[in-house]
Amino acid sequence: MNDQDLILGSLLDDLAAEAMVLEPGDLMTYGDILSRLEQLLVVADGLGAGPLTQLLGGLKSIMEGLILGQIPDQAQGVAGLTEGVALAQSLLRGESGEHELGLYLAAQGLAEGAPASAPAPPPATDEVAAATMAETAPEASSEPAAPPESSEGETFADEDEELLMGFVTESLEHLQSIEVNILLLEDTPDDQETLAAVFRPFHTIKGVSGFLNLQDINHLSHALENLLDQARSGRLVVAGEAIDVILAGVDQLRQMILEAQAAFREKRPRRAFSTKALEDRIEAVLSGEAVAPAAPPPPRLGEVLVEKGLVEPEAVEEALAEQRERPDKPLGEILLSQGAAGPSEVAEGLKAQRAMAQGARQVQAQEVKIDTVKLDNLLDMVGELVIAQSMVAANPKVQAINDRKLAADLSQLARITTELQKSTMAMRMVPIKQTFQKMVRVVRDTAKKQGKAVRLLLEGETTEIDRNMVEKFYEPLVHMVRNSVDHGIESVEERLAAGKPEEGTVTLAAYHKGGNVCIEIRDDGKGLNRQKIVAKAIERGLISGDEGLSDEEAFHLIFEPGFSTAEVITDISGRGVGMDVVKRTMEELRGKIEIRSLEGQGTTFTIALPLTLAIIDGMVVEAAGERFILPTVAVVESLRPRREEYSTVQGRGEMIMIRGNLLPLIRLHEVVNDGHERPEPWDTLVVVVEHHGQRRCLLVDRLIGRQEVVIKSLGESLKDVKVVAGGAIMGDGRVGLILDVEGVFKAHENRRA
Amino acid sequence: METKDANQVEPREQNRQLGGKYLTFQLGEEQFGLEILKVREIIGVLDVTKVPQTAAFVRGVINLRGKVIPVMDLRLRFGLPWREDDERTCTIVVEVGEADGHRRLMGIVVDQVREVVSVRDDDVENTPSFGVELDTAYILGMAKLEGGVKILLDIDRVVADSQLVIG
Repeated sequence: MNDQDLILGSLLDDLAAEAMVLEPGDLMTYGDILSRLEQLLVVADGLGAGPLTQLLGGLKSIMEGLILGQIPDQAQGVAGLTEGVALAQSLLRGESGEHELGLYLAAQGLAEGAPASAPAPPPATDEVAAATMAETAPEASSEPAAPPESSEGETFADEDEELLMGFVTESLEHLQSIEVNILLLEDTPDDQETLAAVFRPFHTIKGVSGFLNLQDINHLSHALENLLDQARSGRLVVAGEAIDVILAGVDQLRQMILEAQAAFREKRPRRAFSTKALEDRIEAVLSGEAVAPAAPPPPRLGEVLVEKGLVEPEAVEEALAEQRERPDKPLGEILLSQGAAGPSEVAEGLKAQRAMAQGARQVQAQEVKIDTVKLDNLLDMVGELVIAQSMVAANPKVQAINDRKLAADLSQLARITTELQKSTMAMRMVPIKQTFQKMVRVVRDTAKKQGKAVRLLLEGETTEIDRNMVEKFYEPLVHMVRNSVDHGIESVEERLAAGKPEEGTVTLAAYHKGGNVCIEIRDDGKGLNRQKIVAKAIERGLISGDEGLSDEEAFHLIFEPGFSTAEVITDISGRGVGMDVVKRTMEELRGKIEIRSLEGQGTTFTIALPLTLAIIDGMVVEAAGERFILPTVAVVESLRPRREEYSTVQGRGEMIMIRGNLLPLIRLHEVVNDGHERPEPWDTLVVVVEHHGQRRCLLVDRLIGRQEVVIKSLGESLKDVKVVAGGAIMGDGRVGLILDVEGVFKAHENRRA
Repeated sequence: METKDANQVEPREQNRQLGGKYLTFQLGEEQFGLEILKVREIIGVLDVTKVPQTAAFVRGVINLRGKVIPVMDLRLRFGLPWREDDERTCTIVVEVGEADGHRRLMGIVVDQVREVVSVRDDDVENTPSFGVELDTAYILGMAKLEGGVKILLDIDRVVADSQLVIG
């Protein structure tokens, strides 16, 4: 692969990452993907990559069709898109050619390059209603209750900027909390507090949007608020369709709000949305047409008692039978009168029941919002304080003072500064809870689409993780969770046939282990089939046979590029895009993935990530009078070669023989300096470093030691220095440079070329 | 390196009010003025860490209370001959705005810092095209003061146009 192919590859990977979490109807992401495609087209065109350009053109027209609502079945369009992206990746790797491309284009109705624009039947009603934009629903004003859409064409005045931006951030937060709480409500539909927690934010959004004259947002939130008001007064049970409507409403509000923000930024009129379809659904729920049978409020006392082993199941059955005859009598009382349980057991059961109901409710954390710039400043200053403190303590004149009080005070100071540093580092950490809770929705939606019954258990939600890491890790997590529901959990029939409970369980767990944060995605599904994986890998030419392959190694084949893409073309679910993308993201975060799987019992993926991205474990070396830090993960060993192990190729390329392997020698002096100094390798040291499977010997003057350093950016103006990944403040207060191993390898190659 | 920018220079607003306080410094034979609002602090010459793949006028990076910032030798940046640092050599830390709205700190090494002067609008004359080695694109104007003529420097432009990284 040459450089341009690499660029193309990484652009495609980014696109694949976005496509794999794309939800049908998500207009914002549609837009993102369209602009990525356009960017790719430019690059591909420049390379003269014929088939790829043709494919990308096709994808672009699918995307345009989706955005304009010309493709009737959004879900199918999205599936077609992900399939196409996978094909593009395999085209680039040279694994597919014109033939596959032709098949794909024909299947998508793109053979003549015409956009897929079959006369569109109306979108399915349970589709996320966002696709219905203003122009497709002119009948909006025929609804007598709804005032005419007046928001089209409006622009915002500059003086509203602060108000609007405040509204956008706040509303998006509100919507997220609604989403979490509404799913809680699904389990405890009559919990007043949770109901209020859903109701209030809608009320706020309604108020502010009315003030800002965002008519459509105002209407929709008003309608939703009404719905919840009914629920609060007990006239409606929030379950089934009501929950679906509210979630759809949340989705649409989010899009409308983001559109308002985008419109303001680009100084263009805001696009108005039609909220008619949703309002109709809300109306239907309110009039009772679509009300699903009210879910009984779980957990029930009987279940709790049995689960805790306090009462025999038979006794509960008996008591329930009696309760049916005398419905006004509480179960606990019946159990008591039957002598099946003592008062203490019933009391314990009641307590547990209450705890379960409350435990599910989101506890409002006490938090303060801080500008990240202020936080970074604080971290910088604390880092300096630690250095200043150690410099004072290490000063020979201070050390010469023979005073017990001073010594005690100094060590107290050292303790405080260390503690202070720990606390400030902890400020970068956020509980993983929010990310996990977003998965509740993912599991629910995916399971629903597949007609599977799946429940998600969350463990260790309070585990903290680096804030910057959370963002990068979200998409791969969505993908893996979806994969577990999609491919891991069997259908209800299969499960029953296998003697498993009807409902599958996916568990997300987070915990700390040995300086890492571990995240587990566990399912009790069918497990990975080693034979199938190996067979497919052989078919795809990834391996030649499975001799000497451990189970773990065999399972890891699913992360190979080209493995899951093979699947996507045959797989009707069309969601196979790139486990390789998942793996790549985890590697970027310096994490590792482990797979355990038992056929018929389920699969566990364990992701081990470093605690923070801010600190790197480094090997400090010296060359050309400067100190450099090599990431320890890249260092294989260091040694002083013997003279006879050194050889040259045509007097230029230098090599060192290490245990039978000839490794190219890179003089760090040449890479970082003009290379006037040419120490002999046998007089100094070489460090063997590895990157992407390639090994090189790095000639340095001296090894100083291993140290954990805080990574600092060198800033915008020096970001193009490829051999340096960043800076670090060393113990003496000076800056040490962190080397970018890949950049060093490249610089060396360019020098020789 | 300055020549490429000549085309990009938009006609400067002739009536821009240039009065205000300036920090003056010496570079070779000439005296320059920097808008005081751009100056964050003045420090001595700190021990720099050299950065590979950078232009000759980049001295390297320093630790400014926990932040890593680049340091530029203004003499070399303007093509003046190199000169040994002495006890008067100073680093002026300037804060410049960027097109994307971010602010950036940069250290600028000058021969000597002079004083803070007040410049009235009337003191400033537009830049004549005269034969300094320095591109007039980087000059806001010339201030005629009692102590002599000061070249008012457009530091934002100097920093923005500097290609720190080579290769």
